[in-house]
Formats: sequence, structure tokens, C-alpha cells
Amino acid sequence: MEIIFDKVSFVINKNTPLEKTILNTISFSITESGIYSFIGASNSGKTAIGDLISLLYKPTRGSIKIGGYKNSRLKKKDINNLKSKIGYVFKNPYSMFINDTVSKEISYAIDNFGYKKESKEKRILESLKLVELDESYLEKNPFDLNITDAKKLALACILIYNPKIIILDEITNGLSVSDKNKLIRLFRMLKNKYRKTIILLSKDTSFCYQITDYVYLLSYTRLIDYGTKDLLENTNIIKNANLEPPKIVSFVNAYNKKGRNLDYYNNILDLIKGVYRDVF
Amino acid sequence: MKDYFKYRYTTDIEFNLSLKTHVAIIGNSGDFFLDTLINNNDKCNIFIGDKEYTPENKFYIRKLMSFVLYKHLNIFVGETVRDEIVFGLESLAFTKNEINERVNSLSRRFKLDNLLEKDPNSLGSSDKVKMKILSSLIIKPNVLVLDNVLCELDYVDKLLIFDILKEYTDNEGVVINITNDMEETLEASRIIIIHDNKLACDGKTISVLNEEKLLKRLGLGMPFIVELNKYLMDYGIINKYYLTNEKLVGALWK
Repeated sequence: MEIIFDKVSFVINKNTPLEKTILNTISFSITESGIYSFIGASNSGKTAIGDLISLLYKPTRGSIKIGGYKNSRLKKKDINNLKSKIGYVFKNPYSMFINDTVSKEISYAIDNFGYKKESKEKRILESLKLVELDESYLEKNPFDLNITDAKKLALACILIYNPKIIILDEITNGLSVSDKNKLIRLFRMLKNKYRKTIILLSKDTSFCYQITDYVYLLSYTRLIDYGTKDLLENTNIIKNANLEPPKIVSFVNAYNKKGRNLDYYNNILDLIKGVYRDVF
Repeated sequence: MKDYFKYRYTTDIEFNLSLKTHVAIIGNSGDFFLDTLINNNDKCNIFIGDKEYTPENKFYIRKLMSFVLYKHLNIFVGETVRDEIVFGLESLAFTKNEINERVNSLSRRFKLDNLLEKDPNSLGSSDKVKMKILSSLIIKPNVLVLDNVLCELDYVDKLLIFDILKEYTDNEGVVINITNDMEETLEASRIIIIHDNKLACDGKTISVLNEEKLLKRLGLGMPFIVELNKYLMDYGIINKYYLTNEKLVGALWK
């Protein structure tokens, strides 16, 4: 499903003292499935991009085209149709929950998007398994879960209805290293096996560097740069945008200052092998 | 140094913290630990100074212990950032001059001085966290409890907050940082792992991070630089820990 932003601006509380520009003439197009990262510090407009793609708001100026539908000509029927194809995990998972048990929460989408009732149980268990939660969670209250489990549940809630576009806002905040590694495996599977379009809105450059295909760099409401993930290897641009360069890139840069020529590796195991070969 | 904060939950968890300590609590039971700190529990004995945390002296203990919680990041009590910050001081009936003095000096330290008249809802997530930490620290508590909030900070703000926390601990404070982000543990002087409501490990930062098998078994992982050191030590390339990129590279290429 294609996503095309054409000179999109987004202003909230227009014509009031609280008026604030969130996005300023942003243009980009995503036409193929893959993993796309929008990285930027807070106040850069990442969340607004998620909100606009998932049709929660309309842009103030410019047009958005999603899967053949143009934002300005959307009818209610089209919106309902599109919403079942877009999954959006909020930054704060607790603000997504509306039911008092995990089983009601997770089946909410398939109850309302007209999926078959017979396969409900199977789908619930499968989506829980994808995010590494088990059946014991089904009767718990989602608001009582800790942040890690709440994030996983929020992800399961959207995976259950199999959307084509998955938008994840700050998904890695509050997750441990092993949970992040599991997410990397899950996203690779969703991309390669099921041809999903995954949009990461994040400031965790180390995580994005490991999986992303394409990077869009936002700073103070503007899209300042975009390109393949090589962009993350340019530490000056990343630091100017008030972000931390990926850990691997920082290490390789420090290493190469000694006159060596070590490659940028994707993960720590390959990096170690590279260092070992270089030292001996 | 004399223990200031004592925590005991049946026979499963027991630890003492002295003043000037920054401790990172990791593991899957951080939520349970936080719950006992906020609401107390029959099975739990908490001492701050010489006082025990009981329902009777709850308000006294709350003056000594401040919380910044992930779940409360979007809950505000005031219309402006200034209202939000002074709420604690006003509740404790401080004079207007004293309030202004503290707000002005601390807001400059936190680089929030130009946001004081803004609506808290309009702030970015990093500024929200800074505002919440500031409003907790302004009443000068002896114990500051952070629950998974530092991960929301931007790069520069993170460095600033760690600097402030260091200043605070040097100034007779105790920081308890409940976190899942292992990179934050490097800033702590001590790490406590609570897994399945039991104390799994307690010790100085580097000695806990040295327990590779335990950390992997509990699904916690290690900070990047420690993991890198670990692998290089296994290969026999280095023989001790170097915790910055520059020192590590210096040791590799003397």
C-alpha cells in the first residue's frame, strides 16, 4: 500500500493563543513494503506523521494519499475500509486500552472489523504468541500490566487484524535488550514473509540501524534529510538533530580514528568478528 | 556509611541503601517493587531514616520520597508548567518568595525557563519528563524514585538529567531508577535485580554486569559497551573493562 505525503503541513489549535505548527511542508512517498524509520527528537513531529497516516487527523495544508485514496476526498466508507488496513501502536500503550480484560481488548478489533467468530480464539492465541505473551495474561486487566507487557499487548492488538501498514510510535521505550531482539526478528518476519509496510517513529537510532531499510530524519517540524540507513552513519547530522548516534557507529568511528578501516556492521556479533580479524 | 533506606519484603527481598547512592532496579518485577513503595504492603517493611513506612506516617514519608512514574507522564495538575512545578511547594505551604527563588533557579538548571508559561499538554515528551523530574526534585526529597521515564528523554536532555541526578546524589540524595534499559544502569553505582518477586542479584554496577549467564537467563541483556568488552575478553584481546569507546579503542591499538 502506498503512502504519499505532498507538501503536508499540520497546525493544531489554529487561530487560538495555543496555535502550534507540528509539521511544516513535509513531502515523501512510500510505495513498497519494507521498514521505514522516521527518527527525530521530541517536538520534531514524529507522532503527527503517525496520526495523519492513521487518519486520526486531517492535514491543515497539502494532501495525503494512502492506498489509492486521497485524504481530501475521503468518505466515511473509505475511512472505515482504510482503518482496517492500518495498525497504529501509540506511544503510551495505556492510552490505547478501553476494556477491562486482555482477552476483550485483544479481540476488540476482530469483533468490530467483521472477522469470522469461529477463528477468534485461534487468532487471539496466535497474536499473543507472536509478541511472546501467554494464555495466563488473558484474564488480567490491561491497565495493571507493566510497561513491557503493555507495549507487547498493544502490538498484539493490532497484529490480530493483520493490517497492511503497521505504525509503531516509540515502541522500544521501556523494553529490555532481549525484547528488542525479539522485536527485530518479528519485524523481519513481517516484512519478508507477509510483505508489510512497517513505519517506526523513534529516537532509538541503535534499534532502527539494525533493521531499517529507509530513514527519514525530522527536526523541528521539518523533514531535513532522508535516504538509506547509511544516513545514520553520518554522526554530525544525527547529533545536530539532538539524537544519539547508533552505538555501533560511534564505536566504529572511534576505532577508525586510529587509522583503521573497519566496516559498519549491523549487529554486535559481526562487529566483534570484524574487530578480531582486524586486530590479528 | 550508615544505611538510610531499608527495604524488606518477607524473606524474598532485602536490601539497604546508604545516602549518596544511585541504584538501578532491573528485572521483571520492577512494577511490583514500585507498587510496594507507593502503597506499602503488610508483608513489606520500609524504613527511611529512622521512621518506618506505616499508614499512620504515610504523609511524613511522602515528603521524603518523590516519584516520577511513566503512567503519570500525561496527567497534569496545573494549567501551565509553572503551576505544575510549584504544586508540591504550595501544598507544603512555602512562602511566595521561596517558591519563586526555587522555581527560577531550578528551571534554569533544567533548561525549562522559557517554557514556564506554556501549557503542559503542548510540551514534547522529553520536556514533559524534565518537568516531572523538576516538580519532584523541587521539594528536596531524600529519595527520588524514577519508573521507566528516562527512556523518553532526548540525547542532550539525557546527559543533562544524568548530570543533575549525579549532583543530587552527591548532595545526600538517593536515586532509585526502575528501568528496563540496560544502558541507564551504567550511570548507577549499584544494580539490584528483582525477578519473579525475588531478589536475584545485588551488587556494584560492574560486578552485576559481569554476571553474563544470569543476565542472559533472565532475558535482560547487557549494555552495548559491556557486551563488546565481554566478547573481546573472551577472545583474549583485552583483560579488563574499558567503559568508553575511546578507552577501549586505546587499549586495542596502543
